[in-house]
Amino acid sequence: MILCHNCGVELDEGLKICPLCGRDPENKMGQEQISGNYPSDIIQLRKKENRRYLWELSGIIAFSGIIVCTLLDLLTGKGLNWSLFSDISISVVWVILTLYLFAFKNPLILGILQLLAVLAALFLIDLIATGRDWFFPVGLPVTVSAFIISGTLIILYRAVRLKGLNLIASAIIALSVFCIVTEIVFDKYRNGLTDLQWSLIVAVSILPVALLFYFFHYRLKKGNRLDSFFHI
Amino acid sequence: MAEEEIPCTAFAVNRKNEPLYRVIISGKRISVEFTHILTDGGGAIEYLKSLLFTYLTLTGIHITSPGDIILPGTPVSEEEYEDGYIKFFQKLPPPPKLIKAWHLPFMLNERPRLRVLTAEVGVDEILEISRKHNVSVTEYFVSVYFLALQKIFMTGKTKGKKDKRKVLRIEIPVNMRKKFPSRTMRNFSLFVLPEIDVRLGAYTFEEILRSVHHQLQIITDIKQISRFLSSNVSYEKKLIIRVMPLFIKKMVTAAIYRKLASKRWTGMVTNLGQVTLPGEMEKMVDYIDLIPTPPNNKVKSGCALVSYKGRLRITFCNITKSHEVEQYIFRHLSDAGIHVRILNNNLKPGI
Repeated sequence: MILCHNCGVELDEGLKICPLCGRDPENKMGQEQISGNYPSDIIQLRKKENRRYLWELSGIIAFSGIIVCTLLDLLTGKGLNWSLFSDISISVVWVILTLYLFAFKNPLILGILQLLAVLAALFLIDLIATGRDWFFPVGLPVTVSAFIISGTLIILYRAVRLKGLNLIASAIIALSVFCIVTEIVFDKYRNGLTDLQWSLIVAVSILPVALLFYFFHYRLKKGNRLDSFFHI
Repeated sequence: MAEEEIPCTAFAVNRKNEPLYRVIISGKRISVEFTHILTDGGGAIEYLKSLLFTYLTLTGIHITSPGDIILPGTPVSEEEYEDGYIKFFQKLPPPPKLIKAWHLPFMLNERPRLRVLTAEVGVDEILEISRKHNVSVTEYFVSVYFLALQKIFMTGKTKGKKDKRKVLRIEIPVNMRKKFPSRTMRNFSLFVLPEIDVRLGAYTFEEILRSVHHQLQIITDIKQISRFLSSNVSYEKKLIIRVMPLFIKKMVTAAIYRKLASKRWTGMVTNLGQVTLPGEMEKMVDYIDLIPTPPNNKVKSGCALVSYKGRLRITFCNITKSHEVEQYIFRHLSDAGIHVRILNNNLKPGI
């Protein structure tokens, strides 16, 4: 019976190496105590490296897309026409991804920077297309309201203890608020007047669903958690 | 059938007319593998005893005193195939909710993943050590398991690994036939989940022993364990579950088990206890092993204990590249004065 001094166990006949440490029990050289060994079989890239690789890869893809679109436009359109829009769109997506990968620790700063990136893109598109026509009356208020409503939903998601139908209900209310804001902005842009029509129909249609979900969640305590529902 | 290269290969439970258990042989070794749909460890060992009796009788060895072995040909009692969970169900408040448990961080093996490692210790040795600490063998072993998990957790922590899950929990099946008057051969076991919350700091071994001992005393109390029974069965009785088509039920429950249930424990220890055979059969049987249910990708490791003829066999099922759990456990047992022998079980591609 051979003893593995590293692991403190006896090995059955026929076992040439210790199944626990993988060492030859008869070779006492280089034996070490188990304690202090970090699990040696974990191979994982550090999260920072992962983020960096993703950023570089997305940058290569985005840059390639911009080059392709610009060249195509130059070759076919004899000048930069439609490619400006695609270039701006691709650039803003890459900027948003960059911000997410490297500024994600502070959600407020991340949200503000992403909002600014989107607004900058819309401003440029408006400038190129119409010479600053719709950005300030439409683009700016709709985008800002969308970000505020999304941010409110995210804060609510983090703050709520029991996540379930209440979040869906909140998303429905947020959607109806966004529709109302959008209609107000568009009405003011087109007519200078506010006349709520379709957004009220949307709100009236979907708000009862939200109320029903709130009722189920808070009053009946149903649909709170899947594991509770299935008794796990 | 002849033994395949590794044990516990999956059963084709989704195909019709496929067997839900198999009897396999390799040299002088007879194994029976059951899917948990049919029975648990308690039912499986009774079947194995009956099978051994039949096998020895067919080979010409006459067993005069079979004891309480269920002999082929004897009338089948209704109690043997009753559903113990339904029979002893009563509507009770559900057990407390559990937060997610920490899981071993090791890389998985390439397929086929399962590795089986068996070790043997003297029952007297481990019993003596357990009695010194005033705990049972199961409590002692589970405590050693917790200590090993805690070491791995703390080592990861010192390397800067952050993990929001900081509770170590071990799943221990409890044979309900010992709690309720049932002779069923079907599944009738429940699981208790003692835990160590490392947010409270590192535990010494003595602290783990005390904690595990008292937790098991409380949660294996018949009133407390009945809550688990009630919780499991009352889900079956919901109208929406009963009217749900079977294929949806299978998908949903499998998905929920994968997403939710197996996140609640870190490892598994099952102790079948002392297995006895009639004297004449005992002479013919050298050892009895128990291989636990192969772990899934979350839990990754499990352990089974069974004692026979004064020897306690400890079998680990591991699907990862690391054997640190086993190393820490056996090192601790060895340092406590228990002689541990790693067996060459010839289970390929095992060790």
